[in-house]
Amino acid sequence: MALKLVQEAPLQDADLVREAIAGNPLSFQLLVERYQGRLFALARHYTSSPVEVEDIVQDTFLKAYSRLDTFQHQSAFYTWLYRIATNTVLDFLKRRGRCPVQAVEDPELVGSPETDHRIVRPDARLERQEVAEITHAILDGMPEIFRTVLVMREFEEMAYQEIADVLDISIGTVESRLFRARARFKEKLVTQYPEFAQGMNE
Amino acid sequence: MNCEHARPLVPLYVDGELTSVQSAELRPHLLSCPACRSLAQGEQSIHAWFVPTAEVPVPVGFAAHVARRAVAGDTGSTRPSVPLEPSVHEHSGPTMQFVLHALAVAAIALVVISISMRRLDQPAAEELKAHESQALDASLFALDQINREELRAAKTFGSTGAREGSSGR
Repeated sequence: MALKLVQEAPLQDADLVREAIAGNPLSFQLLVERYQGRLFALARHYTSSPVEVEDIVQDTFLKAYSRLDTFQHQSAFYTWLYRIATNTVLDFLKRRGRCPVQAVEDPELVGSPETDHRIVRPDARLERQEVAEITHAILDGMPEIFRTVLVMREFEEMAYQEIADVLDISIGTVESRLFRARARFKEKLVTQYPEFAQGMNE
Repeated sequence: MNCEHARPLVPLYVDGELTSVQSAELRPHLLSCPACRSLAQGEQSIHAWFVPTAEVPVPVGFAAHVARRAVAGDTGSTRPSVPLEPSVHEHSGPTMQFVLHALAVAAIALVVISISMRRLDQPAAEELKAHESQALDASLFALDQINREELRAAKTFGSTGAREGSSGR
């Protein structure tokens, strides 16, 4: 999805960026209109408060505008914007008392990679909103280093390369971080909602 | 392909990150190996938990509002995680420096005056009797009053001095 967008509109974005730098406020407004929906959806994965969502997105665009001249046109505009959004989210969580660097990639933090926490799909009787609430409750309790990659991959459907570009890490690190993030997610799901564990006593 | 080679590829396979050649190599193994197939199914089951959430609607006029603020020079929230106390140096113009100096002088004067007054009022050790403790309390209270009045006077002097200092610039 993100890749498709990146392929369709890089030149147009680049033009708007150049015009905005040249002093045309309407060009920047068009960029905001183009990506505001995606950033609202992104911020929603980190907070359920509409006011906080709006604050995060607004801050992201304001920071982006103030640094527009540093955009090198080497990556897609949205990738660059997404990186600012991610940092804004992490700042926001830090202010709220969360610690984004709480978890280094210590295997002990996610249990043994050999631990097989099998989970079942959400019960068909669960409403989508209930599934979303369970998932977000688990994500809320995860270190940001894992939560971020899960949001990017599972909700945003970003390719490994895109995640690597945004977080400025290697694809190998994306793989290992995602692996550990999923292990942690399953472990928490099974612990907090044992009814969704599969074959644990087998 | 054996399980040792297949297992690390399973998450990539599920995420669609393998090349078509790699996928073609892995697929027969998944079909023939129940353990690796189960692993792949386990990886797939996690996707079902990430359903889109209820949207937060973008407020009407949001883009125009943000663009206006951006052009006006608003660079976004840069609030520190812990609010910082305003530094003295941030306000250390000539006026503030004068006030601080005046207060320091007044404080020193107060200490000297209160020590000397206490010495005058204090009875000699041999004169100090239990029944005099009430009188001592009263004199300490009076001293406190004097101190407070002098402090108030010093503050008034400080602010007057500050105004004079600022008007003199």
